[in-house]
Amino acid sequence: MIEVKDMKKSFEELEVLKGINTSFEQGKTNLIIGQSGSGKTVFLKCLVGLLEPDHGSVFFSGLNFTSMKGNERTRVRKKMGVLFQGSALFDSLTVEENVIFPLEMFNKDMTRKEKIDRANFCLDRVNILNANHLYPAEISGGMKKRVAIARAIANSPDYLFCDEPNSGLDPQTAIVIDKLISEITKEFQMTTVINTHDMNSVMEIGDHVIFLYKGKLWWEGKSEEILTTGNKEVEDFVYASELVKKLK
Amino acid sequence: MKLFQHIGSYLLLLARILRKPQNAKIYRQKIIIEMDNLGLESLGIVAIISVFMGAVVTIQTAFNTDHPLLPIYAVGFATRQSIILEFSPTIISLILAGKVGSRIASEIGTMRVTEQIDALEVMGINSAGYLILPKIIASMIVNPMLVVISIFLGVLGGWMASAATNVVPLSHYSYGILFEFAPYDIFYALIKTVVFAFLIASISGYFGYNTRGGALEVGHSSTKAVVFSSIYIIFFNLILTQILLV
Repeated sequence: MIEVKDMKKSFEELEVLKGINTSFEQGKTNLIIGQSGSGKTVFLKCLVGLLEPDHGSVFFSGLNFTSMKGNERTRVRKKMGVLFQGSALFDSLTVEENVIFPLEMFNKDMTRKEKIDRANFCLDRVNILNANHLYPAEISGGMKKRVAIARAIANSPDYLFCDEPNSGLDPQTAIVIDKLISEITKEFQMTTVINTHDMNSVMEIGDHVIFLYKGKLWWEGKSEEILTTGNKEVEDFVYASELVKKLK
Repeated sequence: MKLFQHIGSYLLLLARILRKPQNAKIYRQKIIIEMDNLGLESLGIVAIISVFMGAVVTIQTAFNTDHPLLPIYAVGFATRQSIILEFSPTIISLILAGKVGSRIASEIGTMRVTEQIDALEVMGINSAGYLILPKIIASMIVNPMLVVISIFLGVLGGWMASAATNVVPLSHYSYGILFEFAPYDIFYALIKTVVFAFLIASISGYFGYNTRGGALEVGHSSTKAVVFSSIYIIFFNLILTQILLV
């Protein structure tokens, strides 16, 4: 479980996060939604420690991550898997080496064969077959996302963070990626937090949804409740597309 | 003011780079790979420039020391001293600052803008140490080797020029090359090269690591890496010459 208490973050004069309080439960797919510029990415970066909040704390299973330093923080980070918007695979490593990489760095007790087996298990799990020796430049955007998911789960993380996992993907592949993340969340009982502005993702896989508006937590609830919030800002976002308006 | 800010950030980055490696085995493997990438791939350009510069230095020295009071072997002597003391350690380091420095800055800068460095950080890896330390160590090992090769090829280039143009008889050139040879000069050249290698890899790593934005900024970082590495090489060349030779 992840708890966020009164998180604030500013860049010089610009106040991006204005005191966010929320929690993300284990085994659930938690979605952060909001317009571009609402503070979603900054919020996610503060959660994983890539940015330091100016105020407030993040608790991972009751441990205050924000106040941790050095090795203590590294220990918590080893329990995190992160899927970046652009996949962030290492260009100089093959698909298999990318997945093995976190195991190589930290699992000194595992033999080379065990690491390769684990990488193959993760790659099988995300349906990547016969691509182990290809480089990231040689595979499609959808495959890159899958490999990035395989790398994120290689170390059996307790927490999975995904920054816009569907960006740049066609609608069918986007749904496949969404479902894959949702499945592995349940299967490995992870606490998953996904940053998205894709309403399909919200309806398909969202167990718990939070809506950010101008740096504030404007609304939170279950995905099925989001269509009937009665909140103007949420409805403007949810019913932004003509197609959804017609469906409404 | 900005210069002091850069120096402060550079020193803080160095402190991060020099932290204890998290997995020594992986760092060792990376050092070998970097020695190949940064050193062996530069061998060709170092060889070509050294041979031709050695030849040019010999011919120019011969034409400018054409005086009855100067012994003919002085051409070989002057060529050797020029190559060992200045040309090979400094000029080759400046060339490597262009070739290797831009490579380091653009490689790390691209990793920054494509979130690969963020990926390392969230895995709990000291990204600065993992990416920059192997490049520094590899450069400090391989650049002195390149300079030794450059010295040999420079002297050989002078010998070839003498043989081809007969500006100096070969026997006089060879005598001059061996005349009053001081092994300390080689030590001086290698010390300079090691310091320059550290500057090239760390300054380029610094600019690459602090890249923000996109492809355009990667280009800017790469240019800054070459410019600042070159400036600091020239600056430290003066300091080291004063310390080691005077």
